[in-house]
Amino acid sequence: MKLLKAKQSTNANKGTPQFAAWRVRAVAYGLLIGFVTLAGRGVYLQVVQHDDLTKRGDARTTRDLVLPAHRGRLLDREGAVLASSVPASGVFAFPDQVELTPPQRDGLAKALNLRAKDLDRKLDTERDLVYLARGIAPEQGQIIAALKIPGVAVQKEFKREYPAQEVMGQVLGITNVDDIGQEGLELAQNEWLSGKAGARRVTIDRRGGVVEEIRSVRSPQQGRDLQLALDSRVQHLAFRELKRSVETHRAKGGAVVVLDATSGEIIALVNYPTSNPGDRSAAATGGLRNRAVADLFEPGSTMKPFTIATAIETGVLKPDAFIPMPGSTYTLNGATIRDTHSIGSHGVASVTEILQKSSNVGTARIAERLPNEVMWRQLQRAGFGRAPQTGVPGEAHGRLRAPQSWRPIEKATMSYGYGLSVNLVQLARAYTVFANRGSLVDVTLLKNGGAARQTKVYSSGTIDAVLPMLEKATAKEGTAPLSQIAGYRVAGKTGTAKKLAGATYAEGRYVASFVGLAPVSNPRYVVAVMIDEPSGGVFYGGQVAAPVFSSVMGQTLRLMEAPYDAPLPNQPHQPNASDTLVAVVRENR
Amino acid sequence: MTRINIILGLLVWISAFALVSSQYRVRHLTIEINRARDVAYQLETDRNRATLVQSRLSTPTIVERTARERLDMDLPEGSRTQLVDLNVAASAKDVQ
Repeated sequence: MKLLKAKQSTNANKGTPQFAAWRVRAVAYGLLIGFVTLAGRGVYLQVVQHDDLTKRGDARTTRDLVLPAHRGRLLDREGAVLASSVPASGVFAFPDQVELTPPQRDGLAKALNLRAKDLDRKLDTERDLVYLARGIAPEQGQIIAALKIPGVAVQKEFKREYPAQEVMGQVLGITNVDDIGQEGLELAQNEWLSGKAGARRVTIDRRGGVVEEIRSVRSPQQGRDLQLALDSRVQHLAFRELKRSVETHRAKGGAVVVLDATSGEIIALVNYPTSNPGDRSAAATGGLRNRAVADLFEPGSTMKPFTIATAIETGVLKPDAFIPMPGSTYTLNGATIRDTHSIGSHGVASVTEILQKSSNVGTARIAERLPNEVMWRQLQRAGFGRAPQTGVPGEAHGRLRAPQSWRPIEKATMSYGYGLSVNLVQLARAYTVFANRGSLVDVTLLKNGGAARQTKVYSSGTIDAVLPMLEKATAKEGTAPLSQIAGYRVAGKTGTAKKLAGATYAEGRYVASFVGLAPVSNPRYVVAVMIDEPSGGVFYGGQVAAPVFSSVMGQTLRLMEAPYDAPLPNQPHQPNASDTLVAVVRENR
Repeated sequence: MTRINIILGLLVWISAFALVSSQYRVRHLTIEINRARDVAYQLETDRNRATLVQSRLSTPTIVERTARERLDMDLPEGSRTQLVDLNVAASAKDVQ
């Protein structure tokens, strides 16, 4: 046994090589240094350079993909689309990187609907980046992308479309190529309508395909739809009638406003001439200017009901009073006030007659009884001199001077609508006091469900006295028999104001207007019409603007199925309990 | 001991295989989701475009022009409007 152990020990010594201790230590230290170096490098890369390296790695394997967000739509009160953003393509190029083969050049020019030399001209520029087209159809964009031209890229974008085109022109406004509002409601409601693009971080493979979603960087916020108070059908018929009138009377332009008398909603707001809302060149030249809110004019005789209502309200005039009338002229402070023809008999005229025949002299005589401050305060409460707050950019405030500076002749001229200025929406809004038993309604272009703020301006008693006078103004003996509508009682007032040319009034240049409400038994709508510089031989508001009122108001009432409150000619049944009556169109023409 | 090691080794193997498999499925599903999102966006876009075309074709201007020119219709005026008393019509029907 001892012999066996000794033999094994001898074999072990023979099999294990003997190293010098220093060599063992050198290798051990060498390995240690190597490991320490690796560990140090590891710490350096993992800790010190962690962020930088992570970014570099992510740059190769991750991408932030844009999640597109479209702009909200504009809808009319019935939900019809008035403006909507549709996908489009934008084509841009880096001119110094563009390499075009002749077939690519022809293909690109054809896809862009350009002539080859026009394309060359666009690319021949010192600029780093040039847009070859914006807002083209996505199909065109796909064709261009398929050409795979170095230095030419296609991006996704949106284009705004307006189905109603010029009928809605100035109200809706315009967006720019980046779908940001520039004019009209598009600008005023830009924040509400704008969408915010989102992004999500993804892992991509070698070919750029998405293989894994890491996280959502930010969620896309789609633009919100906005429902307007406008009714496409009323807007259309108002536009049609206005256009017809402007062309018939060879006028410079015109505007019509249709207001819901109780909710203050603007059902229609049209201008003529107009522009297509998508027409950016029109926006640049002021073609999208909304004259109904941006342009001021002297209202003329449409102011008279306010003078009379203020006088009745303050007790200085009784509705059944008679006003001394010196004739068809009246001299005040050396200035002469004229009527086109004398009214009244035995040197007096009733208040109704003054309004019905639109007497400047009679209204001036009534205004003489009013203190400046009282008249100013009532006019201001009726919305004059203050912007009507429709929300449309560029709204004019109108001019109503402080009462301290009024001279008697100025107060007299103001009483019949000279020396102050209004925009058409302001004037229509002021007439809501006659439709609303004395309350002024806040107007809005947005659908408000009938909830509008009302401010009491006149008492119900005053309106009960003035409204019949306004109705008589539309009667056969009044100034506006052409404003009548079969089946409905209407009330309103004409205006024919000379236009200012510098400091003096121009001869032969007028603004013809009419503002009225119907049905008188339960007023639902206020319609204001303004025709600028009619030059077709007639220029009075009763001849030019009143027929437009009649057409627009009549069609609106029938469209909205407003109950009749006046006899219709040749009817077997006259309207009484109107909810049991329906109107049918006779087949015989 | 060896048996436990073999079992643990197998578990590691299965776990690794499951990991690779689930990674593959995740990526596959991600691609599917992205495709579905693209389709959803495309459908939404198409719907908006169709609504727009519908609105364009149903604007009162076009409806009126079509009615006037193709169907020989025109707008009713007050003088051509006849009122029918529904109460009278209803009671007449009851009598019959």
